[in-house]
Amino acid sequence: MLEQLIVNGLVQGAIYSLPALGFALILYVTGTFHFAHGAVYTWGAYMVYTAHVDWGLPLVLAALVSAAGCAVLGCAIEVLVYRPVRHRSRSPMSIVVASLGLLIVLGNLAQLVYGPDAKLVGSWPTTKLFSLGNVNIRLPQAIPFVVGLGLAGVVVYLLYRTRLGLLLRGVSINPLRSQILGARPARAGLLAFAIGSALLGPTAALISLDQGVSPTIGLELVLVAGIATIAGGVRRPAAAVGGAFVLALAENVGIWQISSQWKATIGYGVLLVLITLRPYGIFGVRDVSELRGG
Amino acid sequence: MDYQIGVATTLCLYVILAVGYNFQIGQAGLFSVAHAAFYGIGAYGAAIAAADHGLPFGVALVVGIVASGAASLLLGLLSLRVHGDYLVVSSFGFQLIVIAVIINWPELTNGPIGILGIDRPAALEADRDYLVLCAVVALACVVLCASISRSPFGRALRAARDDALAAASIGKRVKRARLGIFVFSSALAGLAGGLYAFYQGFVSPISFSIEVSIIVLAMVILGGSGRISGALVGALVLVLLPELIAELDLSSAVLGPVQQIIYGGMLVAVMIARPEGVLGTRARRRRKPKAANDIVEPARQAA
Repeated sequence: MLEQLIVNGLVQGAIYSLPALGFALILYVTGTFHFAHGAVYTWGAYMVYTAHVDWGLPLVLAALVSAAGCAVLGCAIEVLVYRPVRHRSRSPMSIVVASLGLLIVLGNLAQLVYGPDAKLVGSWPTTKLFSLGNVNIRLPQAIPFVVGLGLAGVVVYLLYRTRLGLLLRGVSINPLRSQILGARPARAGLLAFAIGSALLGPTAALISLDQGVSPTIGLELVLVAGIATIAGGVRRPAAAVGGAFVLALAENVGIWQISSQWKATIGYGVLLVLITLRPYGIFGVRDVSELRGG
Repeated sequence: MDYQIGVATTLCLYVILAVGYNFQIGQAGLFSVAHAAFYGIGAYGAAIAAADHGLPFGVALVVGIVASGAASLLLGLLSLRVHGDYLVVSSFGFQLIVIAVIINWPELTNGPIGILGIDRPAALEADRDYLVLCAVVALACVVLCASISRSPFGRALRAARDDALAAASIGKRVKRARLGIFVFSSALAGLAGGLYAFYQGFVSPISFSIEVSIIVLAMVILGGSGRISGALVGALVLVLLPELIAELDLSSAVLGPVQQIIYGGMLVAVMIARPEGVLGTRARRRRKPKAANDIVEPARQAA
């Protein structure tokens, strides 16, 4: 039983790592607490539904369509909402207010368009692949694990091993100096929104198969992404992947003894413990000046 | 006449919610999105005390207030130690989790169905009398918030909001003041929740979802955060607005989302067009002191 829960936790961690990495990347490069990430996810999931069920595209293509759609939506939010708000107000809370407003608007728009009931996307074939000890590894576990980790790996590689990643990190650490050296912070920010949002397409495909799509799925998803980001440490975007695994393992192993509907509550408990003990993140660097104050 | 009494009672409850929340985010700068959760904890506390344990009206209200005060003390102790951004995330989580707990703990809360049979005392049986009580309580809350705002404690809060380090260096107990106002504001929400429970006669989880937090946030933001008059006008406009929309004769499946879209859209529009609120004036806008590293700001904004 416990082995099975750990395997489930690792699979879920791989899935969580995608929205978490996107949320963390956007926060890291632009300093924006992007709550509307959840609403972009909701729309991404409906795009998967439309492409896969209505148009009959294979799931992989549906995920790509959704990734492109999410990237466009994320960038549109940055350009049409966040930039004007940053321009008008210096208070970082203004962006959070606008972002929460968008979360509600886009979520309810989805409800108007698709209705309040859950839509079914399909289910995984439960082909057994191999046994690991006394745990059977089936297709519904193997595919999300490989796809999640693979995509997260690509983004982390991009961030730490390419010139593009250097641009993103440079703009985050010192926007003025990177601007003097020829970088364009606004463009880097847009890039972060495009990459971070595009990751939601595959996430939506992985989660929606089996769980279906409904207008409120984005709320819990953005909470997961936020907790994983804080768990990893906000100054290190790649650590959000680690945060996602910690969160998912805690949620899944936590239901060993208690009923599974408490999963989200356990995840929230992880957040409270972390902000008490290690507010700079499990993998973060202690820098008190970042945390204290206003 | 019953209809007008109903709207007026709702307005009184939202005034209590909005003035407390306005205090918390406008004057203390504590940005949480869990106000509806504390509203709900107060309502369930009062409902359980009255319906399950048969406690009298006044005692049940106090139970609700203490329950939300205690919950906010716990959340505040954990979340207010660190930077404000963390409070946003942890309160967002708190809001979702409180609803999840209410739904998943049927032994205490009767799950998604909610608690029925919360009876008012005989003297307040008539809705008209109950409205008078709610109006008096709302007025008392407004006066209380206004007087705290003018007190040395209120000034310390604003000082801590504008520059925590400077306030601490002249001996203001910043953390204690923040925690105090967070608990105060949440306890007011608990009071509003208790009044709501007795007004409706039943409570269920959907009345306290994150959408309600967003409505209260919209009330405060619309009027301009930090000003009591702003919160009052915001509450008035946003309580009457859905009544006007309800006149439009939309089906109920469409009506709910449309109202939410208007509330959310209002937040976005105000932030883009007038971050200081519709009633706020530019001169009152919060300004950061000019600092040597100010030049970094435009670049950061461009990012």
